[in-house]
Amino acid sequence: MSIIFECEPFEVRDDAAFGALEVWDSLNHMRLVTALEEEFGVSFSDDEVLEAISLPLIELILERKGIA
Amino acid sequence: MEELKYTEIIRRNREYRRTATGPKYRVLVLANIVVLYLKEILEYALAEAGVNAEVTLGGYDAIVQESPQAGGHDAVIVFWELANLVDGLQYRADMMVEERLDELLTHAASQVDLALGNLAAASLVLFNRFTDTAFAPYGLRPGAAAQLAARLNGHLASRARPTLLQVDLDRILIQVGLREALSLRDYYSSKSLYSVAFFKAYAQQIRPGILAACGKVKKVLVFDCDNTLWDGILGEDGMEGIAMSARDARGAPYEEVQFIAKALAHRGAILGLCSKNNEADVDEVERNHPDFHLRDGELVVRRVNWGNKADNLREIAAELNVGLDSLVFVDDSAFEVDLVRGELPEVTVFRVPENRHDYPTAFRKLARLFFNLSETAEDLRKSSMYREQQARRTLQREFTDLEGYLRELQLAVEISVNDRALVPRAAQMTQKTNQFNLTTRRYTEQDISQFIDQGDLVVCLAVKDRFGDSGVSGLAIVRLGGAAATIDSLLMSCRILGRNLECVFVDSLLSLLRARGVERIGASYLPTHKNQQVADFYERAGFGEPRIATEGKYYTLVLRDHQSKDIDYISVSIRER
Repeated sequence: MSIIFECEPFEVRDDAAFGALEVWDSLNHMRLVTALEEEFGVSFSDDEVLEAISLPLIELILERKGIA
Repeated sequence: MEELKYTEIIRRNREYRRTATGPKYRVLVLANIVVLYLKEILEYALAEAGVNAEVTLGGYDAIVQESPQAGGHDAVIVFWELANLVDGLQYRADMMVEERLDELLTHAASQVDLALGNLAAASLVLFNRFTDTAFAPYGLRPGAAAQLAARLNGHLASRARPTLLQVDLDRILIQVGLREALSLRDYYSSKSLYSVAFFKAYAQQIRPGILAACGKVKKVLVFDCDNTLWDGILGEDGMEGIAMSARDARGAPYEEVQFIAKALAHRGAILGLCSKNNEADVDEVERNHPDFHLRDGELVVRRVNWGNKADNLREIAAELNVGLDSLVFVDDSAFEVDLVRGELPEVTVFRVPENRHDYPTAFRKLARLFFNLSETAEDLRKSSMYREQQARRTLQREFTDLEGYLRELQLAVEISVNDRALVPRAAQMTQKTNQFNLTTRRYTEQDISQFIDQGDLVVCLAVKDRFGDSGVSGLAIVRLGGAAATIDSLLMSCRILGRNLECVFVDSLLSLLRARGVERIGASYLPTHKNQQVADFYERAGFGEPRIATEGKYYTLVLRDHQSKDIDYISVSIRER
């Protein structure tokens, strides 16, 4: 995530969320989802893209897809 | 790069940029859609080729507005998406009346002209051709959007100029496959139409244009013979056993490769052989095999022997007076390929694919490395010029003293001052000449024309001798300011060196300046990692002791103090406009 947001890993806290983290805007959200899909070999449905707006929520979606 | 994940590209790009040195190559992207993925992908694609690029993405849908700010960038890329000409064009076009479509076309064409006008001074513009492929209906007839795209492309074609490359997006879409190339989710959420896979292919498609603009063009293509120019092993299968004709399945791919190489040679690439074989056997194929197609003088240099190929390639580079990084080597053997890659990392090495049917396609991709922005008369003649060079060498061996040899050559130079017909060639020389180049300043055709317009001197040197015509192969740009003048650029092509032509060139230049009332001349040497050979050029040319600064050496010559070299065996004629 820090790669996409061009920041240091410690700046992305466990509860990072869309809007709260300044660099997490809608365009970077797009890049993040693309990167996650590629990294974990999964695809997000349209609704999951809208849902995936914080780190805990992303973890939840990935867990649902069988990624621990 | 194809196999790298997006995050890996970003990571590597960041790593590269932390350590990159050398001048920045600035690319501006103007787009009416979101092309966010392009930035890191293009930066990395260029980094792979040794270009320290910085890609700046313009604002959303502000192509015309931002085009005046293109100055300061080395290249401009334009993504003008048809579907976004007006909102929803892709589904509205078929409902539009003809007048509305005409009006749309006129408006878009004038916008294109405005942008192109503002980008006229850019040294390189990569402009995507219009396409409706992303949203094309599946019917038999082309829709209104397709017709609009075709008409806009016609308009674009009428605006052709050497610094404008029109990129055919449809080819990239075909290569990648439409489903893979589009990112419709991103399009509907963020107006970002193309996928990471698309941008990887796009970056590779346009890279040769940018490399050519940076002067990083490959010059020499060296082939192994067996299973590379023909199928089979000459030493074992004999003349009759090897195949290179489209008449049979074994030979067909090799005939195709020979013709692609032949076409490259006719556009200025130098071809050569580096093969482990008996030289006489290969000569025999070259002379007498009915299916061999590189016998019209395309093969300029050969090392057919049983020696180490890395040594042979070094010799080839030395013989042609080019850097190893100008060489591309093609071989089928994993052993030879690894050996050359290990010993000569500067050489681009291509291994013939396992299956011969893959060879022509892969080879066509390789051929992109020889892409040239302008194909000047000199490019087209280059092969024959190198052949003449070899005849000169043979003569040289017969002479023990250089002057006797030079006398025998019957050298004649023609010096042209501010000849506009030579502007493309002058610009190209500034782009491509690395070794005998005192300041290595790269200029576009517009830059060169501007020198002429503002009354400076653009002086070209053409050389002939009894073996042939080397064409325009030297350039000086001198900025004039009353009694003082400054040599901005001085360069010569390597293939004419070693004949004291540089002395004659400088002497002629100085007499041109004397005739214009110049009394003092400033000159400089700016070192790069390739122009060491001219580090002391001005000292040798009698410009006196330099002032040494961190970026280079600066000379001031008082013209009346200069001693001409008075070389009497080179005849000089001067043409002024």
